[in-house]
Amino acid sequence: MDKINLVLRYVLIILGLFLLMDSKVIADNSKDVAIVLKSKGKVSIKKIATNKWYTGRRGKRLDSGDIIKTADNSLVAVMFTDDKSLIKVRDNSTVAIKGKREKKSIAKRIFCSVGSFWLRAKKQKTKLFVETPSGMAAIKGSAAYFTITPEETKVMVTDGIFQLWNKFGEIFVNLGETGRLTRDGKPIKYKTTVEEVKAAGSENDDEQLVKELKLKFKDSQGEEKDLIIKYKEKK
Amino acid sequence: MLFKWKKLAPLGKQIIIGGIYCSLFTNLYSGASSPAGIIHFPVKNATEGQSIFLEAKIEEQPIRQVQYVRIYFRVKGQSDYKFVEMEDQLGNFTGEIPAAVARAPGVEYFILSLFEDRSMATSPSSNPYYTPYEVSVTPEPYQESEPTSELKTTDRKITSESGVDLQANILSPEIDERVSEDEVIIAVSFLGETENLDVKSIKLIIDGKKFTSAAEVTKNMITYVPGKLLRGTHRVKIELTDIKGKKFPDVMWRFYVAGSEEVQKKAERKHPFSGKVYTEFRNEKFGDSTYTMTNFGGNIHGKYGPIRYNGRVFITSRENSTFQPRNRMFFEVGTSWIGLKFGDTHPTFNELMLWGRRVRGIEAYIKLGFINVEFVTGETNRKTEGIAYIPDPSNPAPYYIDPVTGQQVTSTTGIYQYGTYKQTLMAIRPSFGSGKNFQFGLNLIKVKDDPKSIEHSTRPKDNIVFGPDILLAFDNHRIEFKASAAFSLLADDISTGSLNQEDFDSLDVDIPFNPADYEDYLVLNTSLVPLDPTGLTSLAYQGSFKFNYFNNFINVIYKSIGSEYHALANNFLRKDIKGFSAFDRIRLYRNQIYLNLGYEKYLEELSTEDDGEDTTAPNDFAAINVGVSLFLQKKYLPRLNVNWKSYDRNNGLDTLITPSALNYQNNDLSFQLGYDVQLMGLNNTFSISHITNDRIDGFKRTYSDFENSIQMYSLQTHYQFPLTTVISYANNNNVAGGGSYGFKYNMFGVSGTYRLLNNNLTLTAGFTTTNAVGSNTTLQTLDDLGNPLTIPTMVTTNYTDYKRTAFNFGGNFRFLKKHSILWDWSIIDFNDKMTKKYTNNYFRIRYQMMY
Repeated sequence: MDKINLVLRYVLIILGLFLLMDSKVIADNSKDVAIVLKSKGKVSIKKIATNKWYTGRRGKRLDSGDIIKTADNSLVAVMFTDDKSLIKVRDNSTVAIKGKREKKSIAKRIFCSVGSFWLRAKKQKTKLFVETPSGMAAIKGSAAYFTITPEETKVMVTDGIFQLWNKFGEIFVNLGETGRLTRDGKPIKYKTTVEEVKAAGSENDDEQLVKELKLKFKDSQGEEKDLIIKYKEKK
Repeated sequence: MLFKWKKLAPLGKQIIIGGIYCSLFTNLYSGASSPAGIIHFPVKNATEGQSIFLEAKIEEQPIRQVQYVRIYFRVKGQSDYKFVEMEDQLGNFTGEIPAAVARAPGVEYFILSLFEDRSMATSPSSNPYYTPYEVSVTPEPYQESEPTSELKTTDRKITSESGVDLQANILSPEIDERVSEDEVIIAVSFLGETENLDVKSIKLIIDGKKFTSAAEVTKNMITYVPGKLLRGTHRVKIELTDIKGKKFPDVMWRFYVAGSEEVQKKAERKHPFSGKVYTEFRNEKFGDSTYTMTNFGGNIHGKYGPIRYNGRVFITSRENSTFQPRNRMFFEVGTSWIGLKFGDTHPTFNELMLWGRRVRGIEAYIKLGFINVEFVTGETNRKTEGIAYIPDPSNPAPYYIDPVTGQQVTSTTGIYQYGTYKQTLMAIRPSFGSGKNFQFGLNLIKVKDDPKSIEHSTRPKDNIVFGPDILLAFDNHRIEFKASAAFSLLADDISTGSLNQEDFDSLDVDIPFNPADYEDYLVLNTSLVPLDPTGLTSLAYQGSFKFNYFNNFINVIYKSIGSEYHALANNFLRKDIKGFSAFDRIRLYRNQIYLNLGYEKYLEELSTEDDGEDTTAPNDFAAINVGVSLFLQKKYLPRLNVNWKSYDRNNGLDTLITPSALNYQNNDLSFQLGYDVQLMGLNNTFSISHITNDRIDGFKRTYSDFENSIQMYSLQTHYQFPLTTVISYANNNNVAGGGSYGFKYNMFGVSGTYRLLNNNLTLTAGFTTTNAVGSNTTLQTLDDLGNPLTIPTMVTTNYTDYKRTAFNFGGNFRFLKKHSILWDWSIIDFNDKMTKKYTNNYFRIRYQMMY
């Protein structure tokens, strides 16, 4: 028995060494998978290598496993370095990216537990996956707006086709449609409403920072009217 | 001068550096004093697709007496010139030949100035129209062997000289992208055999300067976030080698930095238009006189759906009804297939008939592809009344009194200064074919003076020109064949109107209709040129062939212009000539070496062949042109341009028959060298230019010989703080008439530009000093008392010996993102030992707003 334990101990040590070497190789393959192109407001990045938060400034390089966090009235544009797929993370969002370098591309995954972002993926050899608490989405040469809460994930497709699935089933969502994933049901899709399009805004960054203030009042005839004031906060 | 610096190609900057230049032959022949002339150093080389910046100075003339200064230019081989007006910048006139003209096989130009007293000066000063300056044009030196594909794709496979494969992805900015000045990030990623990439060899170069040490470089990527870049075009180059030391092809591209509001506007699409407005005030003190000028201008351009519109206006206090208009107004609106233009337009129908002449009126077009129509009508000359002599109360005509001097004069017309008739133009060109591969067009242009518009002038004219043109093109115009023909009729004097059929019968001229009935179409009388159209002396035709393959750009042109061909809409077309020219530009060694070859053979003054005169004969003109340009990729090697042109004119006559027999040979040689070098951590650009022109008379008549030699040196330095300095020296030596006339000129200048407040404030200062001596050598036969000398002696006397010192200060301040103020102040001290001295003082301030 003691001999077996000794052998097992050595095996474990050797395995551990292999794992260490392997993780080093993986680490090399997972560096510089993305870069911050634009950053407005308060954007933070947690580096997996140091487990510390840094300011997400323009030019900041991202490795596989790094986490992006945006505060109120903030946004950040991140580009993957192999095929220039672009993710624009909006305010109050937390997104993690993972990527593994292959010969001439990077196998990419995006993790998001809460928040919203635009995603535009170029045509590539492998799919780009988005993981959320409610399910997964896969894309290849398409664009969509994601809104993610702990309960549901909505994917409003603006270009191409998205594949959505969870443990209950899978669907394909086309341009002009919105797919919805929930924790406890099958994925569904429907025609995107005008309100949803307005709420998403556009991929243009500054328009996302424009806020609206709606005031209800009654005019002299007693009719109820809405006064909408659009404003941008000074940085 | 320094404000326009960024628009110049690197070698172009080197060539013209130094400020004020000299090629003044007018002085050599004038004798007693140095009248106003144009001082200009010719530009010999330019980069394809980049505008050519020119600078000239009018000496001995207050600026207010200058009516205009123009650059007349054409692509080598074309028949006609177009022109642009030069801007007056404190006595220096500056202008640009448009970028679209800077193309193979080269550009020809001359500068012309008109003064208020109707006199003119040109550069070259002798025969500028027939012997203009020539500029060799070479492609962008930053291009590599596949220039178009390199600049258009962001993902590029590159292979080193030892076979290592990499994929270089330009992440940001995209090729030709417009980015806001505070959002620039330069990033390129590498995929593939990155383990064989030598990370330490990776270099980042922006606009010719190294930024590697400030960049973050790994085997996967290079990234750099610059401080605020200046607005405008920027070029990036990444150099890299593999671990064996073998180079990869450089990764190069360009992008544009725009103001934040400009980029935002484009993204938001809230403003469908953009443009600028400006106002300018100028004050000049010349001797005891003070002169002020105010200009106002602006432009607007935009798009509304498929409709594009564009307008510009220029109003100046120098507008004067006794001269042609200086104000300019223009507005156009239209789509790609239908459009309308109002105001001062410059239609270009056909090189033989209508090619850029200003017409104040309306221009319209419909372009459906299979059929198109272009039409223009308007005024080409404004009426300007002449000035008559004062009738002599005591003597009838032809005796008058000069209105200026009060002296008695004789005159057959009674006109002291001839006016200009109001002249109108109407032109139409229907054509078939879009022009992409084929187009056939028919042209009709009518130009007519209004004899009743003014009183004091003579010989109002009526002109009609018509003819076809055809274009055949293949493979994106890489093979192109063009041909056109035109026939003209000119009534040289319509003051008496048209003759009727009976009048022609009495002259033994048989006409099947009554010309008086068609007077509105063309006035026919005995002033018709040609009187006998069947002789085809008013026929013009030309054809050209272009071939752009196998690293050769070949252009062959043949033309024949009759001696009596007149197109009033194309005054500068050279007549009485036939012959051909052939040019070839050869690209060698991966576009790093260019060889320019040219040959021209023309017969000029053809009409003298059968004129029955023994003392006149056509001129045989032949020219050969060879040039070499080196733009080697290795940074430690200089850029080099060498050009040689030899041309001769010979009419085969002998001086025994006529003293004015023509026989001379010219040799022009130019050499330019540019070198970028780092000294004491500073980026320097050093350049040398040497230009010589030699003319030798075949009959050894030394009075028509001349030699000209120009040397220019300059050193431009960029410091580590935002200061750029330029030190320059130029020398020009002219000898004419076998030594009888001489003009020496040298100039030394220092200038600096300093940027502050995040490049929003630019301050400039400069100092130049010029010295010039002009001399005549004559045979003196009388002594000071007027007695004949026993032995006549050669005596050299200076007609001018001046020193000119100038200090200038200026600046440009940008504020609130859209506004800018520009100011210049210059003090010039001029002292000519032979004539006079004075002090000049200029001040200019200009406000501009972009929207």
